[in-house]
This record gives sequence, structure tokens and C-alpha cells, in this order.
Amino acid sequence: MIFRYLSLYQFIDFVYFPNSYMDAMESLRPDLYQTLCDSETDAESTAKRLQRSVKSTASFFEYCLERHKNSKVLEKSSILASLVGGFCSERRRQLTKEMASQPVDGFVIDGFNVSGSKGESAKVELVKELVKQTIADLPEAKLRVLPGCWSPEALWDLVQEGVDVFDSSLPTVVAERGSALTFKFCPKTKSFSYNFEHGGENDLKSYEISLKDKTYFDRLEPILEGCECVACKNHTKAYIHHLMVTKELLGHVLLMLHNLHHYQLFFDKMREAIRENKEETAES
Amino acid sequence: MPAVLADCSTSKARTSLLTLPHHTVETPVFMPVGTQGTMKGILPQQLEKLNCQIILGNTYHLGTRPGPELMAKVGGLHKFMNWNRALLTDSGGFQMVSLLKLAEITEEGVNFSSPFDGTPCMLTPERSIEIQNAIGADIIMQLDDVVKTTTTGPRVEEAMQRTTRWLDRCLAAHRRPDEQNIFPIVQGGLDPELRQQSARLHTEREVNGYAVGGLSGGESKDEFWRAVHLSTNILPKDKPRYLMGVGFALDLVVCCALGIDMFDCVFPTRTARFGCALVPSGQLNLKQKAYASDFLPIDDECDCSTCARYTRAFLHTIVTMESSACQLLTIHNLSYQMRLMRGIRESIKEDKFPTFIQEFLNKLYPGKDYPKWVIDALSAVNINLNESQ
Repeated sequence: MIFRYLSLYQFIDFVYFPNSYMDAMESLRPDLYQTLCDSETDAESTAKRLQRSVKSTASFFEYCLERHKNSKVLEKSSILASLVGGFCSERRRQLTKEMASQPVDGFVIDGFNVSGSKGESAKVELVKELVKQTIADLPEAKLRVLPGCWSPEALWDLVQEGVDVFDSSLPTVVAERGSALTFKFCPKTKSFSYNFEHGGENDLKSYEISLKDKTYFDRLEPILEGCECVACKNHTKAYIHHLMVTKELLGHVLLMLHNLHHYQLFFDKMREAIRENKEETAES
Repeated sequence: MPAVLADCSTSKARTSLLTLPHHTVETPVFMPVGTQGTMKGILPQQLEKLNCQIILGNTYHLGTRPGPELMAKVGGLHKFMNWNRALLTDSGGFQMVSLLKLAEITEEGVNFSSPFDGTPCMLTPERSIEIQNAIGADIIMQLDDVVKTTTTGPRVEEAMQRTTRWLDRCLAAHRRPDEQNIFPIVQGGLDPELRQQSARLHTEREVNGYAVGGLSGGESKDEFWRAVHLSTNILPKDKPRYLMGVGFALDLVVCCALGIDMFDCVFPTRTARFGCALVPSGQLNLKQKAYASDFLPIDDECDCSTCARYTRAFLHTIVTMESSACQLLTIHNLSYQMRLMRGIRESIKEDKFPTFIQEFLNKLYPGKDYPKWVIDALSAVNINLNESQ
């Protein structure tokens, strides 16, 4: 399941102060929101930087929680605690243990990327370890959100570690570079298969095809045979390629329509795979 | 042959059904321009929902990318972009002259340097028709020798005569006369004699409609309406008249009264991308701070999907910044144009077009300060405006 929640970096200009952040939450009335945090850290961040990030986040959290408890307007909104600490295992563990028992509805595991970083996240193996470690210290019944751009395989691994919610970064990033998602995930075998159509020069991962590539100039089939999205039911690779070459907005629109549809189906299949797992475990 | 549904008993306006190979179009009609085989950011399904019946593609752009060979392979632009209603393509000549720095016109055709690799190219009447045959639009335009309306002297007559000679070459080169209608283009600058001559020459050819060209920029409004009025007086009543490049609401209304049936213009879609929404009272520039807390829709009488969901305040925050703003405003502006044309057609059917015009002008000029050219043009077709305060 994916949904849109407020991305913190949209507020970066005026929200240094938790009180204006909470004022904004009361105006916007989201269904769920994460507490203000300093999550602008990544694998390169220094120890000093991480210390600051953890300290600010903890202090912001206290304020946000207090405001939330006293807010009539936010009664129906779910509050999610932000967990930061970059790639430092110790700091993450410390902060997580402090937050785990707080009266919140869930947790956002943040701080692995700085905003504006393009493309899929780096150091995925380390991230998986840290996510695993974090979730081990979190209560079972509460929501775990992991923002960021993950490859489909990494995402499945993170789902298996216990993450509940992801965002739409991958389909967006892929569309922005003129590509369409074409990977397949089989719920029974829990394995991935790829379309090995060679895309070409652009930054190509095996789970997508780059519609900018000249190969597609005269290809009259849709992006993905059998796909039921608006783009695949109505248009061809050749047309989308033309729209890319001529830098027409509709090209991007069609890629987003396809990518979001494809991504949603992927989540359907992952849920099916989990249900199958549970059935198999129950039967054995 | 169009089926005339009704004539305005006062002016020269009429409403008809134009049966084209892909769609029957109700005239007077406004044709949005989808230059490169797409209306910027809008799905063909959305265009249908807005009741667009016929749209334009540009031969110069499409002839370059993706090119006529691919068009022919795919089976034409209809299939390529998946648009099942009517299409019209221009000849490519106008773009060439306006876009390219070194376009030179000779008797043979238009000489230019390819914008991609600088090699010398030539667009002849034959080549233009060949590309348009591959694109496959229901209506295709002859290659004409178009001059700026501000041009004077022998060049104007030369262009007018050459246009007729190029028309004959286009007609001879046309390979799909049963599926595509060539429209000739009346030229002659602002000279009534030359325009008359051009129109007369064109009516001697076997065609199913006529375009009035060379009147979308540079000339004064007074010269503009007189040239349109003159052209529709000469062109046959039983065939559609297409005024190229005209699209401001006021111009559409007046020119319908003068007897024009078809229009095209980039204005409504282009102005949408700059954050301007079309309304009966004119335009709203949604970038202006005044709209930051205006929670009305763009037009509370508009039934488009943008007005159904979004406020001016919301649109103000995204115009010129988010690409979705471009789509939302384009949808609204196209809806505005379609509703305007439908209002014109319905009022002609009820023989109440002069009333429609008065009401339209009341909203646009609440102070009744109508431009003189509008008063003159309408009075030339027996419509006298209520000018009292």
C-alpha cells in the first residue's frame, strides 16, 4: 500500500521551528503525519552532524507530541514518530529505544538520504541491516513507514523485514528519466523477472525500459503487453518515444500513469505473496 | 458538402454539419492546435470529453519528427496519437517562414536550411502534399506563398498569383482525394482587388472548402475585419470557410457574424501554460496575488473538470510551477472555447445570434466601451449594438 504523506522538505524554508510546523499540520489536517525532524543526513554525514540530527529530532518530537495531544483539530490524525541517525547503528538504536514506547501511531524510519538526491538510494545492504535492527526494537502493532527510492528487489527485502508503507519515489524517478517500469514479480515463487530489451545509453536498470532510446522509434506495441493502464491500452512505444524526443508533456504523463499503475500492482502481488507465506506456515 | 442547419436572418452567420471521413463536425467550430501530435499534457480521451471535434497537427513539425515514413507505416496520425475524430493539417509553409531564419521562397518552393544539420532543403507543393497524405488528416492545406499583411507593393500580387499556381500543383500531387480534402488559401494581403481575384481563382477549382489566410497578425483590426468580410462575400455559401490563426473570443464571435465557419489558434492552450484562464469577462491571470485567497472556481458556470474540483487559490499556488497546472488550465480554456462555439451555434439555430452577441459583449465590456472595429464590423452585417449606458 502506498499513499501520499507530506514530504518534510517542502517546508524547509519556513519550518525550522516546531511550532510553525504544528501550525501547518493543524491547517492541513493530514490523515497521518510525521513529527518534525532533522533527517537531512546520509552515509557521508559526520558523527557531529548525526549527533545534532538526533538531538534536534528528539526535541522536536517532544514539542510535536505535546501539541498533538492538546489539539482538537488533530484528534483524528495519526502521529508518526520520526527516527533518524543516518548510517550510525548506535545512534539509531538509542533513539529508537527512546521512541519505541511513546504514545504514537507509528514510526517513520528516516535520515538515509538528503532531499534532492536523485535516483535510487545508495548503500542498500546497510540500509536493510539498519531497518532490521530498528524494527526489532519497535512494537509489533504500530505502523512502520520508510520513505525513499528503492529498487523493486530492495523493496521486497524491506517488506520482508517488516516495513508497511513506502512512497511513490521509484515510479516518479523512473518517469522523470523517461523510462517505464517493466519488471515482473511472481507471488508464488517470490522472484523477479526482467524485460531484457536493451534500452541503451540512459541510466538503465534492468527493471525498466528507456522510452527515449531510438530502438522504440517504430515499435507499435504498448510499453508492456497485457498491462491494463491508460498508457498501455491506448498508446504505443513509438508514440511515447516521439513524445520524449519532442519533449512533450504528454509523454511524461503517460509514463507516470503506467509507472504508478505498475507499482500498485507490484504491491498487490507482494501482499499476495505474504498471504501465501502465512498460509504455508499455517499448514506446516 | 456541409448540411446547413440554420442561417442567421440578420448577419452572415450560419451553422452547419460538416461530414468528414473521421467525424461529423458542427460549425462554426474552433480547432485547438496539437502541434506535434499532442495537445500539451492532455489525453485524447480528455479532448473527446471536452467535445473537441477536430484538432490541428502541424506538417512542418510532424514531417520532421517522426517523419512521413513512420506516419505511413503506422497508418497516419489518427492511429499514431489514437485520436478518432477529425484532423486538419496545415501545409508547413507558415511555420517554415516564421520559424526558420533562412527561408527563401522561389517558384519551385520554400528553400531553407535544415534546423538539425544545416543541409539545404526544399519544401515544394508536391512534398507538402506528400507529407500530408502520409499524416492522413481529413482536411489538408495547400502550400501557399504567404506574406505579412504589412507587406505592400508587387510582392503581394506575386504571392497571390503563385498561391494559385501552387494550389494547382497541390491538387495534381494529391494521392488521396477520396479520404482527404484539400483547402485552398485565399491570399492578397489587405488589397481588396487582389483578395477578390484570389478567391475567384480558387472557386474555379474543384474543392470542398476554402481558407482565408494571411490575416492573423500585423494588420489593424479595421483592416482585418474588412478583409474577412470581403472574403466571405465572394466565397461560395455552400462550402465551409476557414479563417486561419484566429482565436480570441471576441474575434471568433465577430467573424462568425461575418460568415466564417472554422477557426484555429494556439492562444487558448498557450495562454493556459502561462497561467491565464479564459472567462466571459476576459482573462484571469492566476499568477496575481489577488487570487491567493480566492476560493471560487475559475468560472462558476463552467462544467469542466478543473472548475468542478479546484479553486483559483489552489491554481494560484501551482501555475507556472507544476506541470499539472498546465493541464488543469488547458482543460478549462478548451472547455471555454468549446462552450463559446456551442453557444454561437445554438443561438444561430434559434435565430437569436444578435442577442447572443450583445450578451457576450455585455460581459466582456460592462462599460459598453466596445472597440470601434467591432461596432463597424457588426453593423456591416446589420447588427447594431446597444451602446447606451
